[in-house]
Formats: sequence, C-alpha cells, structure tokens
Amino acid sequence: MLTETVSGKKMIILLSTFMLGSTIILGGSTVLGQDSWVSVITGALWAFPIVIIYARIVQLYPNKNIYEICLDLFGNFFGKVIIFLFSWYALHLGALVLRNFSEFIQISSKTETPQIIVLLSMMVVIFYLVKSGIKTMGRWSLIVFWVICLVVIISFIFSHTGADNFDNLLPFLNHTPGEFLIDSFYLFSFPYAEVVLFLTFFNSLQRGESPYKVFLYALFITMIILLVVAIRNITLLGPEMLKISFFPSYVATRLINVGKFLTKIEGIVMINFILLGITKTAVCLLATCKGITHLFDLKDYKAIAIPISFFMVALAMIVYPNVIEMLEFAERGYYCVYASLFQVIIPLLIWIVAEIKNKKIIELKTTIHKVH
Amino acid sequence: MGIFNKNKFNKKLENSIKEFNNDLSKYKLSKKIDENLKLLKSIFKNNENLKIRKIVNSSNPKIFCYIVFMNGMIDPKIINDNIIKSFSTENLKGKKNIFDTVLTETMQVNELKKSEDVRQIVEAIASGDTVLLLDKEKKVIILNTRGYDYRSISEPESEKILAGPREGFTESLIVNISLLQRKFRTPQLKTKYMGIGKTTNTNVCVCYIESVVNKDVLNEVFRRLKKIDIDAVLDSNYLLELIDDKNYSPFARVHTSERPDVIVGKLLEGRVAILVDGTPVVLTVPLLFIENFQSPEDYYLRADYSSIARIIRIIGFFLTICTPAFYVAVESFHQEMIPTALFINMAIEREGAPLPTSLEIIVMLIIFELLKETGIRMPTKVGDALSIVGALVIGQAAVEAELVAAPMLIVVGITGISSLLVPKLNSSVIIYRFLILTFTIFLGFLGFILGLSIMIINILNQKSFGVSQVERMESWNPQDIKDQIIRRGWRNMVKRPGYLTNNEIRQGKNR
Repeated sequence: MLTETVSGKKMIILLSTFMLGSTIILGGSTVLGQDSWVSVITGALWAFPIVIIYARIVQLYPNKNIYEICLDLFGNFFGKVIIFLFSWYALHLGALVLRNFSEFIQISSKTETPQIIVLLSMMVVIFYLVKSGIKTMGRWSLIVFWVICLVVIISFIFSHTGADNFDNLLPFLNHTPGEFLIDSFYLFSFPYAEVVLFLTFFNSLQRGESPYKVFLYALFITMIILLVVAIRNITLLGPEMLKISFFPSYVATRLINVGKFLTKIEGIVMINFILLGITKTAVCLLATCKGITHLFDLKDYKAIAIPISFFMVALAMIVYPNVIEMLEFAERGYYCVYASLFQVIIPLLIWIVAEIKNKKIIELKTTIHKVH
Repeated sequence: MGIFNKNKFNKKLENSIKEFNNDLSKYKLSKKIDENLKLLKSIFKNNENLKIRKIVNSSNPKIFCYIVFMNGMIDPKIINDNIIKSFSTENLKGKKNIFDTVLTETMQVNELKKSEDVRQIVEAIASGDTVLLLDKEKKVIILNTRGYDYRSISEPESEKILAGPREGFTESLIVNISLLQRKFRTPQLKTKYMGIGKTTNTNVCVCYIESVVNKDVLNEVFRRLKKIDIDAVLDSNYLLELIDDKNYSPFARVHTSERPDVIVGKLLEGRVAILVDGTPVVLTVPLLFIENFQSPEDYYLRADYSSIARIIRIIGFFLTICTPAFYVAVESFHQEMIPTALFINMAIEREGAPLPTSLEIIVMLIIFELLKETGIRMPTKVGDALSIVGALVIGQAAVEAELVAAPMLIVVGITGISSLLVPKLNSSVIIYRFLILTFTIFLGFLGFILGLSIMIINILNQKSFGVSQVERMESWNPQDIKDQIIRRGWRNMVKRPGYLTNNEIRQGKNR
C-alpha cells in the first residue's frame, strides 16, 4: 500500500493540536483552583518518560504502525486481541471527544437542537478530513494551529483590559503534594498520553525525522499553550468560579470586554473548539479505521471509514446519559485508570517485548557474523 | 438496458471506429494516375470543395500532373505562381527522374515532402495542403499551401490589464505558437504536435521548456492526452475536462489564459502548456491554488503594490464566500455578538420584511446571480440598462416597499462586488457560498465553521497532475513563498518554485 508521508514539522503540529483537543474546552483540570496551572507542567513531566517510550517503539520499527508491530511480536491471535483493544480505545476516545463537543455546543448556544444533528454534521467534516489522508490532515492541523495561537494570544492580551486579576493566582502552591500528584496524573492521562494513538500511523513520518524530536517538541508546545490558557482562565475567573464552571475557557472569554465595541467574543473562541474537535476526532477515527483494517486484513482504510464514523456517532450518543456524568467520568479519575491500560500498560508491554526481540535479532546477527 | 446491451453497444461502436480508421490504411496508391485520382475522389465523395486541376508541361505535353486541394483552405497565390506556373514552364524534357526533379527543383514552395500513405495524404488535403500527383508514380508530393483568414491579434476581452503587453492569442494554432516563439530567441522552447479527435483530428500542441520542465508532469500530460478517445475537439475546454483529475471538487486544476505573456511566464516556471487549434484559450498545468489570485499585471507593476492587490483578492475570495453566511449566523443565531445599539437598528429595519433572514438572503443571492448572468450575455448597451434596472428595482424599490431589509442589500452588494475580484474561481465560489450558507442556516456559527472547514479541506486535498495545489504554502523557506501571497521584487526571486521544475536556479544575484 502506498503510504503518504508527513514532514516532522507538520507531525509536531498535528500532535499538539490533537493534545490541545478537548482540553482547551474543558480547561484541563480545575480541581486545584488557583494552582491548576502547576499541574499542566507536572503532567507534562509525568508524560515525558512515557512519550520517550513511544518514540523508542517507533524508532525500533520505523516502517510499521503499532498494529503491525503487535502482529509481529505477539503472533496472529494475541496480536489481534491487542489490536482489538487498541481500536476500541481509539473508537471510544473519539466518541468521548465528540460527545464533549456536542455537549458544549448544546450548553453554550444550541440548547434546543438535538445533539445527533450536531454530531452528524461534525462527522461529515471529520469523515472528509480522514478520507483525504494523513498528508491533508497535516496541512489542516497547521492551519488549525495558527488559528488557535491567534485566538489564544488575542484573548490573553484582551483579558488584560480590566477583567483579569492576577491576585487570583494567590495563594501560591496552597495544596498538599498528594493533591498535586493526583491532579498531574489526571492531566497526564487526559491530554498528554493520548498521543499513544499516533503510534497507529507514525510510520507516515518522513524518513530521517527523529520520533523523539517530534514527540518532545509537541509535548513542549502543548504545555506552553495550555499554560497560557490556564493562567488566562484563573486570572479571569478566580479559583471558585473555575471550579464550578463546566467549560472554563468559554466562560472566561465571555468576561472579556474591550471598550464598548469588542464584547462577548466567546463566539470567536468557539472557532477554536470546533476546529480542535474536528482534528482530534479525525485522528481517533483514523486510528480506529486502521485498527479495523488490520483486524480483518482489509486493504484500504478509506472503504470502511463511513460505517465506522456512523458507529462513532452512535457511540457518542449513548456513552453518557448527561453532562454531569461526562464530567464525573473524567474528574473522578475513572478515565485515568481506564486509559492507563492503553496509554501505559500495553505500550510498556510492546516496548519490553520489542526490546527483547530486537536484542535477540542483533545477537543472532552477530553470531551469524562470527560463524562466517 | 442491461449490461449486455451496453456491452453490445460498446462493441458496435468499437467496430465502427475501427472501420473508420482502417478505411484509409487499407487503400494503397497504384502506378496509374487515374486510379489514384479516382481513389481520392471516392474518399472525398460528396465534398464539392475538393478541386482537381491538370497541369501540362509546356516543353513536353506528354508530361503532366494533377494537383488536388481543398478550396478555401489554400493560398491561391502560392498555387498559381509557385506550383502551376513553375510546373508548366519548367523544361522537363529528357529528365530521367521526373518525380525527383519536380520535388527538388521545380516546386518553389517552402515546405514539401513525398508520401505514399493514403491517410497522410488525405489529412494533408483536409488541412489545406496541396497534393501533386504524377503519372506512373506510386507516391505523391505534399506541398504546404495553407492559407486562410483568421482574426487578427488583439487584446483579449476577458483579461484586460492596464500595464504590460496587449497581445492575445487568436484561433490559429500556428499564429499562437509564433506568439510564444517570438519571446524566445533561444532554442529552449519545445513544441510537440498531435492530432486529437477522430472526426476533426484537431491539431494540439504541447509546449514546454526543456531545461526547466518537470519530467514527471510532462509524461503525465502526454499519458493523459494519449488516452483521450473523443469525437471532436472544438475548444481547449474539451481537453481540460478530459485530462483533469477525476474529482468532484469545484476548484479548477488546470489554468487557462488567452495571453501569451502569461503562458510564457508559466512555461518559465516549469509548467506545460497545451494549445489547441481553433481556440484562443491555452491551458497550462499544473495549477497551484495561489495562481487563481495572480494577475499578469502583478509582474508589470511594482512588487509592493501587486502584493497588496493580491492580498485584497484573497480577502475578496473569503468575503464573497463568507459574508452571507456570517450575516445569517450573527443575525439569527448570535445576536449577542452585535453591539446593542446596532442590533436595535437592524431589528427596526427588519420589522416589515416578510421573509425570514435565511430565506431572504437566498432569494437575494439568486436574484443577484440572475442579474449578473444576464448582464454578461447582453450587448453592452442593454447590459448598462439592465444594471440600472437591477439597482433601482431590486435595490431601492425593494427596501422602500419594505420587502427587503436594508442591511441585506449591503451584504449582497459586498458579496457581489468581491466575487468579481476572483473571476477564475467563479463557479467554485458560488457552490461553496451556498453550501456554507445552508450549513449556517441550520446550525448557526457552528455550521459556518463546518462549511468553511469543508472548503479548506477540499483546497488542501487538491492535486493537479500529481502536484499538490498548496505545495510548500506552509514553508518557512523564503524562496518557496516569495511568489505566493506576496510578490517580492525580481531581485529576490532567485529560484523557481522547486516542486514544478528540475532546474531551480532562475537567475544570478543581480547585486
């Protein structure tokens, strides 16, 4: 199969837009109030080693995606079990993200529109993006990235027109280390370690680009943007408001008021959310499609993209009964535990087995060399 | 109609095509001149344009020849002076090989060749050449006597500019090629001819510059042109549709122009031009998306000014697509985004309007398209009257009668005016304007963003002859983006766009 390649720069941007994804709506973790920006950094520190492991897996098998690696390492049966689990994770994550967005849209503007309409119309765009292939997705993410940067910077600058209050950041570090630890693990599993899905098509990276560089740069860029967003939200809303609002970024930008002309610019901020939602779900859909392709030994993922995208919409409809449960699923840490299976345990397993096998191959080669 | 019938039909068609093609190749010339004449007459049966004339040599009345030509396609002066006169006065008495003597000495025509192939002979006659038949010869001489009238070179109406050359292509392929060739006083310009169309056998010329063309694109062009199996080619648009990538996207993937300077500029960047006989419109491939916003004038005016013009065109492109949808989104979904005083004003304006905003804007846009379409097809004077009627009736009267809200007219006006900035994107602009509008009517701002996203993905996704239309738009390398959204001065454009050519260096440093 002819695979399209993506340059390292675009891959970095695609990774960052994916990670920013729904976090930019939900505003990361808000449990710590004025200290929530700290966990943006500590979460990234947590993510550092696991991301290195992802990059190592890619480096060991530069021409294969994680599904092919699984088939290689664990044989047909166990390999396919892992493929199934992984594609399920991609599908489920896609559905969760979609639901986040439709829930956000229903609460923020379209209170009477049925969510299925919003979901289906978003899916049209997502499906088109996935069908266009990874190269187009890379270009698309570049545009999305610049739009986000622009909106974040503008809203950050405009927030300094009286509405913000830097005293909201005080008292500084007013939580126990245990709280920080738990909160940063929450951030680790919610945006950062979700990049594990990129292992499903990381073989599309252009030859000669270092996977370490891609992963680490993306982590860094995401951390910076999330930090800016977190500080903006805290200074605008204050710790108490931050804790009770469903979508802090949206509520925060609502407070921005420049003169008498530029008011209520949260509609502009909505652009961010929609674009990021499309990008993140598209990555999930691509990962699912590739997984199903390998599960049933199909030739091209584009042929099954339509049924899977419908399935994702259906799953998004039934995945939560209401928005409170959606937030609890994330906030109570169920998601962290559930996701750690796919984000930590399976990649660790693959990495260890891959390293052992690789060593054996190298030993075998050297012994053959010696015999000759 | 089942599959079987279709297959049968295809077979029938194939057979008739084969017959048509074999028809000519099964004939052979004979040694007897009468039989050859009879053959030509039977091939051109019922065509009274075909003229046959016998010429007798004055030195020896036994030596004679026939000339066959198509009336109206030839230059009579050449036939009279250089063929008839020379043959009848030449002393052919005692010459051993009359055919070779006639070929090399007697005929005073710039281009001539001998031929035995009936198909070639018939093609030559049909395209205005004269065929000379001699007795006891199994071959004939084809003489170039083409000459017919064509429109003189003038500035193309559709691409008028203020500065720069004013010549435009005509309907004659030879003249068009000469317009290109006279800009190169080097052997760099290459031309390859081929005939396309089974009935018309239209002359098509592929032009490129050997040292800069991208060989992959060139091969792809030839591959696609050779695959064409069509009855007639009357305009370059026939070819455009047939060599285009199979794609439902409304954006163009082939560039068209009537200006030689534009085509030469494209050739010099490594593109391939396709000229078709009988039309002034020339195609170049591949097309980058930014070319839709480039005007030939950009290169004849100051670089900074043309950069500003280009940015304005890009803004116009987005304005003409987004304005109606954005208005609907703000007016009927997100009133909170409008300052309160303005919103009250707008509400007062809208009070008497019978239609909801979404329906109103669709009706107004359709009326605008109607006016535009009739205005284009009308003679100039009627067109002027039409625009007055449009402005008065649709504009003032509708607002005064409170049929339409006044802000709506401003929106439609902005949409209409800015659509004229990007004439090359006209069709795609209309399609996407209505698509985004439909999304917006149902979903408000969300739909607006979703519709716009579809358009952007479509642009990012497009390929023209294997080259992505937005190739290196995102690059940080200054040489890649010097002629994209902004045009730098010629001092700075040292390299050609690298993805179009094999030879990147355009010029020296000029410092």
